[in-house]
Amino acid sequence: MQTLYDNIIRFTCFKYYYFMEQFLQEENEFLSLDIIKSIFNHPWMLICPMVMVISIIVGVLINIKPLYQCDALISFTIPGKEVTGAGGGVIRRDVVLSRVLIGDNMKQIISETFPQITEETDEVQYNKLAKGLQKRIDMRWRAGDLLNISYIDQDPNRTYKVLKATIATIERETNEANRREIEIGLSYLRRQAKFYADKLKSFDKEIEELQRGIIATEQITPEKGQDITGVIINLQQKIVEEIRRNEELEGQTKKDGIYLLGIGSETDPVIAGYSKSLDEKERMLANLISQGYKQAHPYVNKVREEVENLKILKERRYQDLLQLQSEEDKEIARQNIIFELQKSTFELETMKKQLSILKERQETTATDGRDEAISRYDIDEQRAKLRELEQEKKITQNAYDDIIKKTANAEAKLRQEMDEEIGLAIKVVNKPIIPREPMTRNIFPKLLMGMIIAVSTGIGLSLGANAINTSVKSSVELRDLLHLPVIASIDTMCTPEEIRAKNFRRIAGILGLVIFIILSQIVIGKIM
Amino acid sequence: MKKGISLNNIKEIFQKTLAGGYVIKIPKSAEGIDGHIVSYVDKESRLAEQYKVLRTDFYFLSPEKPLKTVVITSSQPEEGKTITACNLATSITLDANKKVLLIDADLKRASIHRMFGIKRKPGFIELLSGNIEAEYFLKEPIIGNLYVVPAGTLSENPSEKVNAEKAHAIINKFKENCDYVIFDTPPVLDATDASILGALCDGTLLVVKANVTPKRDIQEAIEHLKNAHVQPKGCILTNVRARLAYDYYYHRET
Repeated sequence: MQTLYDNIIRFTCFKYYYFMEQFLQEENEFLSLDIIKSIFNHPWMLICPMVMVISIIVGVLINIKPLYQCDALISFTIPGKEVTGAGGGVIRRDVVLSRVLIGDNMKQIISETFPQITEETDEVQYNKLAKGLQKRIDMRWRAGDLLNISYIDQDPNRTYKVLKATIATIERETNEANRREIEIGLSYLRRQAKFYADKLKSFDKEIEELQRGIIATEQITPEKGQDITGVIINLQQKIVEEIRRNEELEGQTKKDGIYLLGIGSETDPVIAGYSKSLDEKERMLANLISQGYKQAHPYVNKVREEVENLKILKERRYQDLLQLQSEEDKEIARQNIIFELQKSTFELETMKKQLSILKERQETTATDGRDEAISRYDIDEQRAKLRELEQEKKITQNAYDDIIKKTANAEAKLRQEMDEEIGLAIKVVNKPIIPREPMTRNIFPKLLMGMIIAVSTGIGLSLGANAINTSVKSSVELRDLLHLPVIASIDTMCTPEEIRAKNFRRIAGILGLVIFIILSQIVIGKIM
Repeated sequence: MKKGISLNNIKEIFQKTLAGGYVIKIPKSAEGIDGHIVSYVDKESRLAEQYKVLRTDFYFLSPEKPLKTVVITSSQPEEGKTITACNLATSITLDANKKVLLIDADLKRASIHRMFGIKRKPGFIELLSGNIEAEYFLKEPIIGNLYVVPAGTLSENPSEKVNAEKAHAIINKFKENCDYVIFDTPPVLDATDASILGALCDGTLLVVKANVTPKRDIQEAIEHLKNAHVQPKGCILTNVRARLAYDYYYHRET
């Protein structure tokens, strides 16, 4: 055991000495004694920068006004997720913070903390202040969603005010961002709702078409051998009548006085009377013409005048009623007419379908003598298709209802957000308080840094002076230069007068430094 | 004998450290020797020790053929040639009482006479022009066995006075009578005197001021000397910053 221990020690020592030997060899090349000596050849170059730098640092530290720091801690939550289902909270959080110290927000902070400076009165000062605040308001993320905000200023009250204004801005900006996000979500939901609504409409149209086909097929199922032509003529007459009615209803929808017609003649006895008389007179006029009376016959003219008068009277009665009618009555009438028009249109379309089916059947019978075209309109098949469509419509309807519900929720939330009842995105964990004690100045690290700078500068200057000085400095240098023996190195010889002159220069130098220190303190004191 | 470190020692070390080197304590000795000649004025100082080291190394620069005549020069003025030459000469003469002759060949900025507190003329110019004999300067030593030839009368073009033949004759004459002859010459890049004398002497030493003399100037000066067939024997580095540890050691030992 002892041997092993001895061996370890020997090995370690050997390694150490080997390393030191290597190090010293390299070090000698790099840091020769001449260089060290040359540094001490110019002691003033070392002393002067040290005195100057240290006096400046001390001056700054003494004259600097006490600074106060105010801190606050904010916790961030990420609302709006449930609305869109989208993430991106961190990005949004950063976007919010990037907006806090610019534009109107900065204007708001400045107006609250430095009310005497405005952009309008002093733009230069305002911009300077804004830039300064941007630099000095420090926002750093700590663990998770915690944001640390701090501000340093000479006035403790102002530090508090600035921090408070900043927090308020963050709060405001976060709410604004929430609102924007909800609006974006809402817009997306609305687009979705529109899409489903269009789909539902298309389903409705398809179902209606199918239903019409089924009804038409069911209504026209003449037995084999039945006279299809007769049925067709009959249907054509009905279609003409329905077209006329449909046009009349459509015409009524285009003028203001339609609604009474929509209510029907039963509702107003006067109009009902006029209508009845008008029908009779028109029939009479038609009979006269069919009996062979000419258009210009006095009796025909008389009946025509009566018809025109009745129309005028009926129209006047409409106008009177129009003025008397309430808005509610008007709306009811409008709805009635629209309903009637839709009904008429449906019937008309159904009849047209029937006509086309019958015509097809007529053509088939004429060509091959068979009346089997009915098989192509298999009602069961159409009904199955109808059921299928209705099922799809139901699913779409459910999706649509869901979206509408979501939209309603989002709208409600947005209203709440805007009323600031709920949804605050930030929570102030540590509230800012007015600082009582100034910050510590860290004098020693600064002094140490100053010393390092000064010594480095001094060494640099000494080496620089040495590099500029091309004179011979040592006997070794002289020997290497001339390759001659240097037989003696004689010390400097000074007379007392020379020493006095030297000392005078030294005292002048020291006095110069003292004057520099005093002046620098005065200048720094004025600047700070 | 070891001595404990005193408050005065600490004060001195502190002063030296602030000054970055040796501080001249005595501006002038009783004999009128300048405080810069530390080898004589402050013999026990660390700087004097450094000059002793210089002296020893100088002896061993050429053991087979000793450098009896030597030129001390530099690339630029104000690098410490004169102080080095004076201290080297003093240090040699104080060591085993060797006969040393120090010649101020820097005719433009002559200063050796001031260092030793003697007259400027007659001097090297008079010697070159033949107005005076070499023996004149070997009559009376300044310190121990050290003889000095000052620069002489100030003239307009001093460099033109330095003639190779005349100088050669003078050098040979001094060589016979002295153990060492040291020339303090003007900078190489300023005048040709150093090159001329260097070619005639046994060796040349180049003084370089640390942290001041640019490398390019030193190389240029060497090129100039080589062009004149002068091979410098060595360099002396001056203005080196003193190190605290050495001072502490030195004071403890002394």
